[in-house]
This record gives sequence, C-alpha cells and structure tokens, in this order.
Amino acid sequence: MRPARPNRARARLIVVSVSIAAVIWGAWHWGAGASNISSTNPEADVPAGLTPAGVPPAASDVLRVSYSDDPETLNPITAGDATSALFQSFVYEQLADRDIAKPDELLPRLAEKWEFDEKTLEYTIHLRRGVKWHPMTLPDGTALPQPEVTTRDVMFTFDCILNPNIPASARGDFVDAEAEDEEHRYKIRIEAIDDYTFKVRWTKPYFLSDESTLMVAVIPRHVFSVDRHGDLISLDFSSKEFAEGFNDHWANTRMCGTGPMVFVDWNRNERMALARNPEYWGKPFFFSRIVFGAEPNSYTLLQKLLQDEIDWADIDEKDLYLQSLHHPAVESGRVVLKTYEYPGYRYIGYNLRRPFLRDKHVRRALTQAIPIDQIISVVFDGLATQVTGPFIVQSPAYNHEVKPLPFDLARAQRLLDQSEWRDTNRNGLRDKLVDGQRIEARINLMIDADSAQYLTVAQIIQVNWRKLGIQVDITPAQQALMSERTRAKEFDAVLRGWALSWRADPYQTWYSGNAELADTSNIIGYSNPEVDRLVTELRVTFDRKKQIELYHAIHRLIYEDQPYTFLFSEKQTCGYSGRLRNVKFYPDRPCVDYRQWYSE
Amino acid sequence: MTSYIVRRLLLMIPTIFGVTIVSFLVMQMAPGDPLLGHADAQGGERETSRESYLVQKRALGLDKPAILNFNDFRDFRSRVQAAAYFLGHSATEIAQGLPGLAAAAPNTEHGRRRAFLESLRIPDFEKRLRDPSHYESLAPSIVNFVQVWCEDAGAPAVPAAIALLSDRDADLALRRGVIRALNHMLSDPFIYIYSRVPDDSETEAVMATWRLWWERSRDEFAPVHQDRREQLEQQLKRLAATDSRNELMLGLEEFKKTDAPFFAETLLDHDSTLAERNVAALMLRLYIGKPLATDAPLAANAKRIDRTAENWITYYDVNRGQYEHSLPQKLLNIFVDTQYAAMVKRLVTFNFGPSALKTREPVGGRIWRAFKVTAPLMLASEALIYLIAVPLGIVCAVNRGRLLDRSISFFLFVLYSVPTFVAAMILLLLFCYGEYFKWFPMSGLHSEIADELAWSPWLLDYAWHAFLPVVCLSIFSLAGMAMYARASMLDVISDDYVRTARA
Repeated sequence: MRPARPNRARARLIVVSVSIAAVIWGAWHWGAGASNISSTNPEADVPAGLTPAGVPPAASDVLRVSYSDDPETLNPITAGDATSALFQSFVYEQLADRDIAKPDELLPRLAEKWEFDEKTLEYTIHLRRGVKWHPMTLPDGTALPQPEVTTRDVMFTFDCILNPNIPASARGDFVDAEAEDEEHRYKIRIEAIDDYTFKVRWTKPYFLSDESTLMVAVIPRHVFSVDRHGDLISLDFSSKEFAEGFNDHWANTRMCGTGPMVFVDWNRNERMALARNPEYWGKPFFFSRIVFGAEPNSYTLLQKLLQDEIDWADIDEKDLYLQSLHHPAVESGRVVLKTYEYPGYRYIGYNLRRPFLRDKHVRRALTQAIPIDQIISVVFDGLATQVTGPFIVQSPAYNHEVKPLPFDLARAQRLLDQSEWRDTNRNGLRDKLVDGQRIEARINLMIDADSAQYLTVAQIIQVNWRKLGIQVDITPAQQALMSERTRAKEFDAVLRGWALSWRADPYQTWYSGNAELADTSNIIGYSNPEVDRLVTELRVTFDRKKQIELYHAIHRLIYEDQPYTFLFSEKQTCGYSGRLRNVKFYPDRPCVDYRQWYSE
Repeated sequence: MTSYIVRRLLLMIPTIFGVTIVSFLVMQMAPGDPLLGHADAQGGERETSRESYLVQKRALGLDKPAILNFNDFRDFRSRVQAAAYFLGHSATEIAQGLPGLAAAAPNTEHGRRRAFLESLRIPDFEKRLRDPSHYESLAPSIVNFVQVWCEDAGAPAVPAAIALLSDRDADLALRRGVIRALNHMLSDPFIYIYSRVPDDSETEAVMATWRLWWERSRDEFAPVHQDRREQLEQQLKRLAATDSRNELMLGLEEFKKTDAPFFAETLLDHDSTLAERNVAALMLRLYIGKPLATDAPLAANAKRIDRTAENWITYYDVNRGQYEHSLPQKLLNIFVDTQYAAMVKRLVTFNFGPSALKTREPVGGRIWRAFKVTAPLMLASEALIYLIAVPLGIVCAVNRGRLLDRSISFFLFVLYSVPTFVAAMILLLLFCYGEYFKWFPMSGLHSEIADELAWSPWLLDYAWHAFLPVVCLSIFSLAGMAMYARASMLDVISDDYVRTARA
C-alpha cells in the first residue's frame, strides 16, 4: 500500500508476495501469554478536536496526491491492489490497525478492545459504540439510513469474506488447507454475543491470527446487502445467490465507511475526491479535502510536484529524482525531496531443479561473483541497501548477524572447481557429468523487459559470471510471460522482487511442501527439512522471543543455502510540498502516516 | 445508389468478422493469464486465491475453449476415472501405489493412470517417479495437479463423472474420488431457490433438491401445531402477494426453523402457486441453509458417500439438459459455445456485459463515458483540420512553385513526419512544464473548481485544457489534408474550363 505509484514498470517489478502474512499489514503483537490485551487510545494525550499532530484542523485546505493506476474496485472485500488500499485507508476502518510508529503493536479502531485466550484460541472483541456509517445514497438518489456500526456489520463482513463465491482477498487467511470436508473448511468460528461484542475462535493456533482477525475492514451491511433499488439481495450472506448480487454490486465504485474522510466522487482515470468526515469518532483529519489525481506519466508527475500542483508524490525513477535535487524549487525549500526505506527486496531466484543450480556451492559461487556494492553505487546511485534474507531489514525478524558473502571471483572459481564443474572440453564453459550426461554451465537469466536499470544489472552479472566460465543469456520478459514461465517452472534464473510485510509468514515461499504445487510462491523448488521444521514451529508460536529466534534461524539457514542471491532493498524516493509539516517515514508500509500531516 | 450502399454495408460484415478474428487471435497469443497477469501488474499485496480466480474465470466465460469447442465429442471417462482414483485416496496411499505406477505397462489400469499424470505437466514427473525418495513429495503434487485438471475440465467432464458415480458396484474410494472431482468441476451447482423473478421452469429443480432433503429429514422435525399452521398460512399468503422484496425478506425473518415442515409441504404440494413456492424455497434456504451435502471427506463412510452420490445424481437428472446435448446442438456448440462466439455476440448486440475488473461495471457504460470525453476532442480536431488545411492547400496551389508554397509544403512535410506521441511530448515540454512557457495545464480536462463555474467560464476552462490535445490530434491529419487540398486545387486549376474562364 504505497501512497502513490507513478511508474508502471516498478509496480510490475515488485511482485506480489503470496505469503499469507503479506495479505495484511503487520503489527506484532508479541504478547507472550497473549491474553487480556486491552488497548489504550494512542492519541489520548491529544486534546479533543485537534488532529493527531495536535493542531486544529484546517477550515479549508486541500491535500493533493497523485496515483498512477486506477484501482480495480473500491470494494474492500474484493480489492487487492495498492491504489484501492490507499483510497480505502481514509474511508474504511479496520477493527484494529497496525501502529505505524510501533509496528509490533495493534491500535484499536472499530474495536475498542479485545481479549485473546491462548488456551481456547478465542478472541473476544468489543466494538466501539456510537460510530456512525457515512451517509450513502442509492444509484437513484434515495438516501439510505445512517446506522451505527454493530456486530451485525461485522458478522456480515465475515460472511462475505468466507462466501466461497465471492473473490475475497482475505479468505486465504481463514481457509484450512488440511480440511477434508466443507464443515471444516475454515479455521474460524464467529459468534455474536450482543450488538457490540462478538467472539472469533480459531480451530488451530496460528501466529498471525491476531492480524487476520482484527485487521479486517468492516463494510456496512445496510449498503452491501441491498441491490440498486434498495431491496435485500438475500438474507443468507453465505449463499451463491447473495454472492452473485455482491460481486457486481452498485457500491463497488463508491465507498461508505466510518473513517476520517468521506467519499465524494471518483472519475476513472481522472480523480478521486474525499472530504473530511465531520462526525468522525476519532481525531479529525487536518485537511478538509483530499484530491487524488491520476497521473501515469512520471515526468509530468515530477513537473507537477516541482510546480506546486501536487503536494505529495513518489518518484519511482531514481534518475529523475537525482536530476531534480538541484531544481530551484527544491533548493528554495518549496519542494522537499526525500528517500526512505521501502519494505521489499530484489533477488535472483535459481531454479533448483536444474542440474547446474542444484549444488549449494555453485550458488554460493554465483553470489560471490556478483558485485552487489558496485551495482548499488553505480546503477542505483547508492539508493539501495544490501540484504541477506527475506525479512524487512528494520524489523526484529531480520538477522543482522548474517554477513553478506563478499564479492570474490577467485573464491568463486575455487568453489566451482571443488564442485567439479571444470572446463573439460576446453570450450571456455565449465561442464560436469551429471546422471550420465555432460552438462555445460549455461544460465538463462530472465528479467523485467520494462526496466533499463535491471538490464544494466543483468549485464554486470553476465560479465562477471562469464569470467567464471558460465554462459549467461539474458531474456527480457514482460510480466505476463515471466509469470507464465515461473508458474510452469520453466526458467533457470529470474531477477525479481518481493514486497514484504512487517510480520512475514515464510510458509508460502520457503516451505518445501509448496514447491511442487501448481500455484506456488516457492517457484524455485526450495526444500530444506530444517527450515520446514522451523517454519512449522513458527506458525504455532505465540511467544515473541521464541518467534524472533525462529526467524533468525530461518534467515541464517536460507542464506547458507543461497537458493536466491539476495541483492538489495531499493530505497523509495519521494517529494512533497514544502508547506507540509510533520511528514515522517516509517519502516512498514505505507511508510507514511497522512493523519499526522498538516500545513502552514 | 441504394444498391451501392447496400453492397457496401454487406461488405462490412465479412470485414468486421475478419477484424474480430484477427484481434481475438492476437489477444489469445499474448502469454499469461489475464486474470493472474492483472493481479501481478498491480503489485498489490493480496494474491488472488485459487478459488476466487476460478469464480472470476467462470463468470467471465474464460474457462471455455477459445475458437472451437469439441468438448461434447471428447471422452472424459478414462481421465475422470484416473482423476477420481487420485482424489479418492490419501497422499500416503498414493505414495504407496507409486512403485506400481512406475512399473506399469501401457493399457493396464496403472498405465492409463500414469499416462493421465504425464499429461498434467507435473514438474520433473518422470524423474521423480523413478526415484522412490521423491514419492513423499510427489504424492501431494499429484493430488494438487489432478485437482487443477478437474477445475480446468469443468462442466464438460460432469457427464462422465456422473456415469462413474451411478455405478453402484464401483469401489468406495473411486466413488469418493468422483464426488471430490465433481466439486472441483462445479462449485455447488445445486438449485435451492428461484431466481429473482421466479419462473415455473425452475420449479422442477428447486423441488428436486428440497424433496430429497425432506425425505431424509422428515423425522427430525416435530409436526407444526394447527394454530401455528393457520398463522403461517396467513403469513404465506401475505408474502406471496407482496411486490416488495424488502417486505418479503423481512417477513421471512419472522419465521422459525421449526416451521420448516409447513414450508416443505407447501413447496412440494402440487396445488401451491409459484409465488407460494418461491416464499417456501426462500424460507427453507434461510433456515436450513445447505440441505444436501455435495462433498465427501476422505474419511467418509459408505453411507455418507451413497447419500452424496444420490444428491449429485438427482441434481444431474433434473439438469441433464445442461450437460447432455443432441447431435445438432453438439455441432452448433463447436462454434457457438466458445470465447470467440461470446465476444462476437457481445459486439453484435452492443451488450458488452460486465467488466472484467472487480467492480463488474457494465462495459457499455465505461465506453460511453470514454466516448463523451473523446468525441468532442475528435470533432474539434476534425473542424480544426478542415478550417486550416483547406485554405492552406489553396494558398499553396495558387502560389504554386513560389517560396510561399515551398515553405508551407516543407513545414507540412515536417508536421506529417512527427508521430502524435512525440508531438505530445514536445508540446508538453514547450507549453506546459514551464521550462519554456507555462501557458497550458499539464493534464486533466477541467480545473479543480470547474464544477462551480457558470457555463461560459466553464467552456473557456474546457477550451484551455483541450487546446493542446486537439492540436496534437490534428497535426498529422492536418498536414495530409492540406497536401491533398493543394493537389486537388492544382488539378482543378489546370482543367480546360478554368483556363478558358481565365482566358
């Protein structure tokens, strides 16, 4: 969920992480005996009527932000893309949200407090009272009532998520992959106690169950249960009949939530406008309006920023960012340019089913022959950080004791010699007899066709691997082709990226059982019984310290195996108007907190 | 003249057909799956689950063959049988059977199963089958790929599955496997209620479902007391008579689960009206939920499997027409039941259906919105072209060969060689970014405050925004049109009658 995504090429490069954890933003709630977590209001020390930053809200001030790709839908149940997540974050509210400043903790939103009983795996959740839905009208202009949020809405939301005929993004969290029949299809049982209390019981322990249960955006039953004429679609929200009405619902292009901003209008490929919710239960938003303008052209976007036509933009192209550092608008302070760490990383994934790449020593040699430092300084102008593992560098899960293998061609040569990959036929390429066949050291490296930067990276790798006696062919591929090849496991090596969640579940990408499934994130076929054991243990561990130990061990083992060459995490570059105050950056997505901003 | 117009119009039909088939083929040739590809390009955090992917794929008809559909002529029986074997056994059992599979000769049962698995493109299948140390991981991948095969095969494989299921002597594990396969082919197809506007043709299917349930569950319910029965009859009459769906839905909420026998009888009673049956089916659906089991777990016993099999067979009997087609229908389906035919139909009827985006908005509405933006721009650009090109052409022709003609022609030639997208970049750089001039806005069609303007400033605002786009759209055609006007003018000037007139 990045604030703006002005460049398509980049959006394609960061490939969706399928890990269940990635489904939701993370916040550790590390609580050891995780029971009776009552929450405090994080903004309680700010006097009533003031914004979270402690200033009075502006009478009339528009925050102008840009976006590049239109969202697929505004319905939070089915939405899965970054732009809709951005829009929804202002209008819809979850039961609880990750505290962006302390991502290890959850902040109460629609849920005022909750308790978790680790023995029964049961969450008892108490809703905030007196929270009203935003006003909403039917397509014919008839106004709908404006009721309070109750457990009826929450039950309705879960019914929609669990309805098998609704393509709900979050359902994966609750599906029990080992279930053998329909009755046990889901890992949760939900029960309403009264209008403001309900219980969610998990049938199996899962270390991210707090996020899955609480980081659910609640949708209004009085809107999504009726058709365009205001008639109820069906009373059974788990039915196929209801799903059909819900999937093409009239409110898919509008928003009705409880958040600090109210939906005003949305013109596809043009703009989305939100206005401050005067009845918001929490601290008000500083700006009276937010206007998101569609801007697919990154150069025009930059010009708009420099000419003060927009207040905030991510600048995805690093060269544009660097060029602008000496622009008069930047030097005079009218526009501020900044970089921040973005949770994700780039890697080269090796298809471990290939005879040449099967050997761990070969992969270590390949990693040691990539000058990652040089790539970062030359290709990315220093705007990237080297990584050694699949977790967010700033998160406690990341093991800083794992030191990157140094760039050392001589050592790489020795490793290949030791693994008996030698140039026996004097053709300049190493080879080896594997299963009775002489195999030559050739690698086809697939990269994103839309990125000139990654072509340069691939060429640097090509030159260095050639020095080891390995032939590298670079295949630039469009995203669709890349997905098709990796799904079919028909590739040697691929240069890609993963977006990361603060709390990651390594199961999808690193568990061996997923390696040979039709749809998998473990495309490379990684299998290490010790990692399997640790991942399985992690998934049922609620103790914070223990979790970190497991994460660190997993990180270390994966780096030893070198199934990927972990490259780096690119820094995000952005710019914002000098009039904005209190713009801070955080390690977890969306990396900024709009609620804290104000202007002078 | 009329025959000329008619001939031209008729010629359009094969032309459009040709254009559609070429564009369709080009789209088909692009790699990747449109539904999966989209999710990736968005770079979102949430991955489409297999289930929701299937919901979307089936809703959009993307599970159908592209151009020719021979599914009615395919024999799915042996493949469904093989699939059922793997779905009916646990991964451990499958792993135990793998040595037999590895050593299987063709044309034996094992051989057929093996051939089926080979067709699924499981990564390194042959190699892993040779090495028993891989069996533990191979078995779950087999189950997974067989499941995907069933999902992709979908409805056309259902008759073969039902035929296998109808064989009561078949082995329990196989019947269990068939039931599991059916669940992957169709997602709960049983019909519980009428559609939004009830139709008598649905009665048979609705009644079949609830009759089966009622026959089995009759004993679980106490008879409804006479007083309650009278009350229910009144409510039923009232709800059957209402036109308001909300009244109907709220009325349903007043019933209790114990009233179910009354409604089951109403539904199954031959004298009930359609409206009464509709209410009864809705009531039962709401309070009973899912009356018939469709799936069978691996641990299911013979009784459960028999019951579920009976459910499927009953469903199939009532809906046989959907799956078994007459020969003419089969022949017709080769061309009609395809993605291409669906596209042509949408084109011809101008009913483009819902969008593939998750909003499922009507595509027609989106085209109309785009048209409203495009049409004025194009009209303005055409007007500009004629207003400038024709006089320019005449000036050139009149001054033929002189410096004015040559310089204008040279200038037009330059314009003619600039592609629109390059022209757009140059115009942006010159007139919008402010590096040279800042005369026009960088993007958008209206100012932020446009909604509050009176019509004349609104129009000015629009013209200011639209000016450069219109210029950009005009440049290429303008140059061509001016050259054309110049040439036509020269033709006319050099005609005999003009020379005579001038003389």
